Amino acid sequence: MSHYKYIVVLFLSLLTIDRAMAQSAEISPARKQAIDSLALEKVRDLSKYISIIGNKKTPYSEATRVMDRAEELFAPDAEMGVSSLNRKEVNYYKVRKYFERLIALNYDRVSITWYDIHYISDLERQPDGRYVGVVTIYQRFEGESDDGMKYKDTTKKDITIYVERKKTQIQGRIVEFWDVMLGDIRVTETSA
Amino acid sequence: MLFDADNRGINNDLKVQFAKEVLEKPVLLDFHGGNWYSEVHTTFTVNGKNQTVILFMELEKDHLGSKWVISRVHADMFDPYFQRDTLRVGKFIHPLSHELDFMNLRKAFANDSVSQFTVKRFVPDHLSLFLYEIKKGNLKFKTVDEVKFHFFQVSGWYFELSEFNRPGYNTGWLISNLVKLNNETEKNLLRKFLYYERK
Repeated sequence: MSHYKYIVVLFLSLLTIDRAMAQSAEISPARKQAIDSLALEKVRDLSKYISIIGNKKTPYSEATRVMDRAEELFAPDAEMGVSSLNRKEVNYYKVRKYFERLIALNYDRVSITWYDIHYISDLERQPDGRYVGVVTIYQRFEGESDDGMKYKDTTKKDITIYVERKKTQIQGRIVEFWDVMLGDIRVTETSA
Repeated sequence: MLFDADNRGINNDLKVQFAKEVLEKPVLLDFHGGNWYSEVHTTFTVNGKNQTVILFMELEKDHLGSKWVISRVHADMFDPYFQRDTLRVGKFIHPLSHELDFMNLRKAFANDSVSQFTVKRFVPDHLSLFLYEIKKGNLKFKTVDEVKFHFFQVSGWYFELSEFNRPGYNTGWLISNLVKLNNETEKNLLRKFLYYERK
């Protein structure tokens, strides 16, 4: 369902973009802006999903459903590469596995907030014609157990964004649109 | 009598033109003059299996004299390691990978065809691989099968000398290939061809 929401958003953005540009694979500034908002919307959705998944009050069945939704945001084979201040070595997790680890965290109360959501890169074209960009966000994690044990950290998340021209058929007409998928995420702990 | 009579690939007019040129303006082949080298076909064994290794050898000055040295190597057995399909887009490391500390290298190296991630101008160096495999003890020398010489000493010409051990008068060291070189580009192309370079 959420997928259709994005398509609708892009259709609306398409209306504002000149048709000649739409035929070429180049991205006009207006379209870039539309794609940026769509990408940021997906990132915000991921942020919401992560908060829900991490929230100890979320029933397991609901968390599983949200994990499914969250997974839909990602391109196949997307991975999270996690390192910390003490350990430079990168641990890799499939997106699903990362979410499952989040559920399994042993805290009674968890608060996850994302801030400083912004693009750090322009979109760059890949050999296959798709565009790739990176969005950087910061996540503050606070966990607390009933016995008073507290844990806090701030991580930087560099999120890969893939932008792709796709086609769909609506009432017999082929309509082209730009779709955005999330890709690999590099997670680094910050000293902030 | 200087040419391999069995080789119909060398045009008769070309032979005449070459003979005329070198007779009118005699050229002495110079042992230390460079612009010639040897191609030595050898057999090595890898895991008990025979493999042809071609050594390109040239003379190099050293201390008080000179010596033959290996300048290049070509072995078909190394080729599969460098195959890359340049027509298809295939796998790639996307242009913003640096922003994620190249974390996607993990996926790249899990791939069985890592050569597709190399720069287009990359030319495999079989000599380095050859030395590595010898040092590791994987390649063991067995025998020399064939020796040829390539000459670029006669200006505007290339010729190859091969030994023919057969009955009759057209035997011994004979010109087994002859090419007229009109410019440097042709010369370089031919050199690449002789070295089995694919690009």
